[in-house]
Amino acid sequence: MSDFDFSVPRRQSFNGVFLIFLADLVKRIRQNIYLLAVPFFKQNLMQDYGLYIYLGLALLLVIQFVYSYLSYLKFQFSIQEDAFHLDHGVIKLSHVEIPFERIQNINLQQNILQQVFNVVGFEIETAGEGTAEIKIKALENNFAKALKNKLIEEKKRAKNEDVNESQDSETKATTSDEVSEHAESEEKSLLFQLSFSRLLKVGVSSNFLKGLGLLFAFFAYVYNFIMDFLSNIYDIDFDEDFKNRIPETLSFVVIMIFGLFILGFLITILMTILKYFNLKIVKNQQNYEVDYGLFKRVNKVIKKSKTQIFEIETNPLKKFFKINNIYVSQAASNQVTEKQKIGLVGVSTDNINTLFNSIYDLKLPEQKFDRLQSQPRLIFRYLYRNLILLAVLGGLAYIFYFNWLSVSTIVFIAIVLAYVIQLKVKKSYIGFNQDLICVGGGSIHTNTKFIEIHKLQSVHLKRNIFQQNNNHADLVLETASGTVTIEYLKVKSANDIFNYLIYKIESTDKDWI
Amino acid sequence: MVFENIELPITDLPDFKTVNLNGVEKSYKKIIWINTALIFLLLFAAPIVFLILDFLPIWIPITVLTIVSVIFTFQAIEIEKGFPRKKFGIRQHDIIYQNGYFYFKEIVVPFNRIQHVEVKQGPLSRIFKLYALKLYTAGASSGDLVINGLSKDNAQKLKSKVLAKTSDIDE
Repeated sequence: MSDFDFSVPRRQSFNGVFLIFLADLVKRIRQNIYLLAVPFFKQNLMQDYGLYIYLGLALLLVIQFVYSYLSYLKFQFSIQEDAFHLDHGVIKLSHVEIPFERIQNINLQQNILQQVFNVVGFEIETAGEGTAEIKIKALENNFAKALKNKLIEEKKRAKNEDVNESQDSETKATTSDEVSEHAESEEKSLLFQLSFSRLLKVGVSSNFLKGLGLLFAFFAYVYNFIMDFLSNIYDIDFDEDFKNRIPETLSFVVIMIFGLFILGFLITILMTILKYFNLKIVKNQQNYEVDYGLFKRVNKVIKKSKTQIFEIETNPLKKFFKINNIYVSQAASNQVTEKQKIGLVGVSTDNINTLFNSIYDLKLPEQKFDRLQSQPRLIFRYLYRNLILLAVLGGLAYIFYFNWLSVSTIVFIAIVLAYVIQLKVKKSYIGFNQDLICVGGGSIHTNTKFIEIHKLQSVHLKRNIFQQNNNHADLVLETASGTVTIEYLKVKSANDIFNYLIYKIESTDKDWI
Repeated sequence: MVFENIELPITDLPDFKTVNLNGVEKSYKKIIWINTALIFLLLFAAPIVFLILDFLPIWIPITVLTIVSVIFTFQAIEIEKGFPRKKFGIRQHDIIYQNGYFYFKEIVVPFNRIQHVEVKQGPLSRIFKLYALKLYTAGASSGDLVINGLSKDNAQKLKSKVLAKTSDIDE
């Protein structure tokens, strides 16, 4: 399969020159965006110095191209006996070596530019500090795939040698892993492919408040930008003018709000479709490979040992459609953000069970958890937080627009908030058994996080001054992909579960990665 | 009932509450006070200067002063009441640390999850001959444990104990 000789140092695909150039150019422009404001401060700039400015810009462009070309020339990589080697840098040369056994993940992805130039991005993730990562911007598709396979092969070989050399030492989990890996090797089966109609269902059942928030942010940005721009030029206070013209009719406001909701809804659907287009989950030996995205195609690997949190999300609409979302968090050197979680959306309950089984070697339906519920007093904590919001809204309404409409709107918001809070408290719990913890959360939606007990890093018990008096405690679990908090447990049971978790972590010989 | 699923009775588990904990060095309180004093000196100085110079309407510096004083009072209570709660302890397999008055926090870090250990000393603690022990675990930094205000003896002892335990488990 490998008709490529990887030991010879090579460069990226030639199309890469342009890709690197464009990427660098975008970076430069972004760094110097504030220069665009200069013409506004100085009038007649273009008439006076236009020629020089264009010449200067052209010169900068040429220099940037030469620089990008040089960095393309200097960027060379090869596979030697023991490691992946990479040379790069134009002025400061650097040499990176990644031993095969330190390679954790190899990701291929294609953003829209890379699709235009018909190349793929190649990313090597390593264990440990997040800094030692390698990103190759442009490789030809089949070469990238061959390189990936080669590296995986080498990695496996390195691991085997390791095991052979140290046969007398404990070869516990790794050997059994190895054996099963060999037995199953060559096996690459498609577990799940998201059809378009299903994707549409995922979009429809997504939380469209996210899209709404995005919309508001976008409008606020555009509004500010245009106002700044216009008032700079015409020296008019548009703000006042604009406000005076808002028709204070009920129908206008209602239509506005209604329209915004519809738009937010549509945007959410669109975003979901763009992000998760043609989601594919492929089982590759012990691991799962996940591909998704329309413009930016993402390829990620879910590794059994690296998986820290397995999260299932559902809501009433999703239940109706019989779909679920799974979010997998892998070990990272900092808190895993929502974006970094690997999302497997629109999967069926059977898919969940299969995935769960192969990640944890346990059957999900057979898991019985002892549950500890968050205490009702948690309601007050959420109430206090939302009280501030309501107070602000109320204050605004009182000052600007005090009539039956604003009052009833605020009452309506208060009722919705109270309902959501009550749901939130009801859905918050921690469950545990011999192997796993499950943490419940959510309001209208429901999410359930599963964590293997031996993957916990440390456990905290937190009690603020009120909780110290009324005998409640927050339980904080630290994992290698972030913190999970369960609020307002009874202090006695929080203590008990604390002791139990610590005991379990300390009595296991399983590692967290 | 809760815990019915567990292979051993919960009452047989070692309880971290029963461990005898040691307080940190008394002189560490002075460091905390010096640090706090420095910060609040600046915070108090700014509004007072404005009050004297009479640049702003008088209610602004007065409000700021009131807010800063309230925060300072809370901080003072936190230091005085919270300091006796700064305690650490060691068990066979883990290290325990607790602190805080308004937010009482108890942390247990198992030795087999500690990535590396650091003994540190800031400029102020150099004067008071105090050390800080930093224990790093994998993942988010909120999971790391810092014990401030240790004597050199204690810091070294803790460090070597932690190191011995972690490498013990590695082999």
